[in-house]
Amino acid sequence: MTDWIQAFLHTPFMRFIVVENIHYLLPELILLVTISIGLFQASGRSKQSHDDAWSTALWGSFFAIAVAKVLAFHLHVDPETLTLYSTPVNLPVFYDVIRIDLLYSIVRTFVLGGTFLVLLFSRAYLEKHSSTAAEFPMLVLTASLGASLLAGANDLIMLFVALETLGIPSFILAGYFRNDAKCAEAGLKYLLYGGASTAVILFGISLIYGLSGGYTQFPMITAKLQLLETTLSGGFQPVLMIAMVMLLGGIAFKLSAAPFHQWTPDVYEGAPLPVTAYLSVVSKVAAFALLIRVCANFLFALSPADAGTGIAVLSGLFVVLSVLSMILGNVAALRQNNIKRMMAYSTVAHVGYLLLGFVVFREAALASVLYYLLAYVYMNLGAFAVITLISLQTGRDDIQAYSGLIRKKPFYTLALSIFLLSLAGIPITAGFFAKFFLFQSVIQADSNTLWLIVLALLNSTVSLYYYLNVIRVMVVNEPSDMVQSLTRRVDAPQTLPILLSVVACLIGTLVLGFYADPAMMYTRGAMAQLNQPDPTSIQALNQEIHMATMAGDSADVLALPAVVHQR
Amino acid sequence: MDFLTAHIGLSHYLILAALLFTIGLLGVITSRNVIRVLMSLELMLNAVNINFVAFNNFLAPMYGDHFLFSGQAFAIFILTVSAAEAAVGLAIVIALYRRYSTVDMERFTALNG
Repeated sequence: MTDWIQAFLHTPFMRFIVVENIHYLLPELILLVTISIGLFQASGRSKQSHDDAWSTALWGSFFAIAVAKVLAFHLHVDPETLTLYSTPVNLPVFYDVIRIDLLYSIVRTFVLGGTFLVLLFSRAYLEKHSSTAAEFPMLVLTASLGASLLAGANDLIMLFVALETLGIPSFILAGYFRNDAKCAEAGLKYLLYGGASTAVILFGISLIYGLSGGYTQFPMITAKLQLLETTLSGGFQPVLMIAMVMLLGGIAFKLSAAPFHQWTPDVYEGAPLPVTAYLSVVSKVAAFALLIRVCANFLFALSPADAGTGIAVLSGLFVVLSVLSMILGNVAALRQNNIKRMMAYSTVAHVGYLLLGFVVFREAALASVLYYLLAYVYMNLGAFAVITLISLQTGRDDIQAYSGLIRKKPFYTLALSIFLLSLAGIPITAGFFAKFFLFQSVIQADSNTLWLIVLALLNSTVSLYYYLNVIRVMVVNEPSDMVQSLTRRVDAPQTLPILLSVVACLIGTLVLGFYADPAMMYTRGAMAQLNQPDPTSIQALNQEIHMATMAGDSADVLALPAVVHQR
Repeated sequence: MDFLTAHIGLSHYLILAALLFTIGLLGVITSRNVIRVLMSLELMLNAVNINFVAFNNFLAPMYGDHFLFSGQAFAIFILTVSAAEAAVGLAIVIALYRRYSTVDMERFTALNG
């Protein structure tokens, strides 16, 4: 038996896979196979075939997380030097279209984990709305495939394809109940805003492609842009400025950062609850991973933080986005009556806090951003899981329906309270440490940002009001008739998976709080890897310059320095 | 034909693309008809395609003994994906049309935003 396995491992095909690092993409391949099998099963007409497709989706995503976890923890961080051992850094896959590094591994694990939790609590909700078809999990898995590839994209084409693989299924999901007017409208709105923002991102990308002289790989583009910057004494090119503003503006749309957030409350209100959870967690994590990559490759690599007016303008852009998102999100959340709209504005506010980490242009701040994202996955998904549970039993989304819930459903109340307190940033939860690390690292990087931090702290105080308001309604108010009619008995087996995901999120929220330091070590390691000089592309570039100099064909190439030095 | 190759350079293509993109963006912002908005979206994406193909045509780097055609490949990817996006968009529009009997965006008022 073992001989047979040995022989199999030494076939040319397996050697090719190992040499080309394709086995690191195993989680994505599992997702792909799951989607294919599941779609076949879902094409059957009987209820049995749809049940099969659902269980295929759940098992498939579970295996994908398991494999992703193994691959992620296979990369060990050395706590002293923040470097990796036992596994090489920056493994290229598929001709360098994807890079395997720690950021990718971490984000992938959490994207897949979020997907699994969303699938766990979406089935009962869909069945309640008499939608038993199994396309839903397949769409969610397709979107997750895009989200996880987006985190590892190392090429402009890959970036675009992954972004749309995430986007198009999300549009369908947002309008999933097409006979419901609100839901279909949410889908249309999401599609139009999403499509327009993609077009803007693409225009920015096309300018970057032109500036780099026709390369799509990130390391090549970085090296080319550095060349441009050192040779043209103007420093930051105006065209690069336009390209970056369009790219960042488009991503801000996807992140629903104010003033580009108008679509968020409408889409979150209209979409089915599990989809809202998915959009506010998994999509946001993927979009932030994209923003981190874009910044690390196209911005941080260019100029040190103390030089260049262009950098100052872009930093100012982040300040504006962050301040507007925090203030508009929190103030608008104050007067919401619908819990989905409240969570939408709370998402906008959290995006505001997260964007603070990009203001200072330092990798250390980005490590805290990544930790914040991980904490955010658990606390926001957990809150949405409890909201789904309550919505299943009361059938309503307004906060008044939660009156006196503690009398009938003490566990729901406790769980939702913990998640909301974590979102507000109350100590011992992950949310507190996330805010603490973020604010601390930003102010360490640049003490001029003190006013921003003070503003963010004031905003967290404001946010405390609307989070605590929900808890007050649940605990203090007299039970409404609807709550009165709820039974206290153990829930139906249908809601068991939802309870499972609530418990998983509770554990995640508390554990990430208790073990904040090890988690931060991982995220710091991920960021330390990000901007390392890439020997292959620098070599290729030098070769190109050398050849151009030999040929003597182009005057502006001759003007370039003879050799590009590593940063 | 000689006139064209002699006088039309990269910047002409870029200006055309920028104009098309602006027209598309204006169309997306100002139109009330959903079909028109979707058409304007396509216009924006096609402007990007012109950019890519023009850049690729004028600046393609050598890779070994042949040119890199990544820009043109990118344009084909954009065409494919935008077709998929338009299909999803039109499907949602049909669902809404069945309910409202109109494609006027101002009439879609279930969400108060």
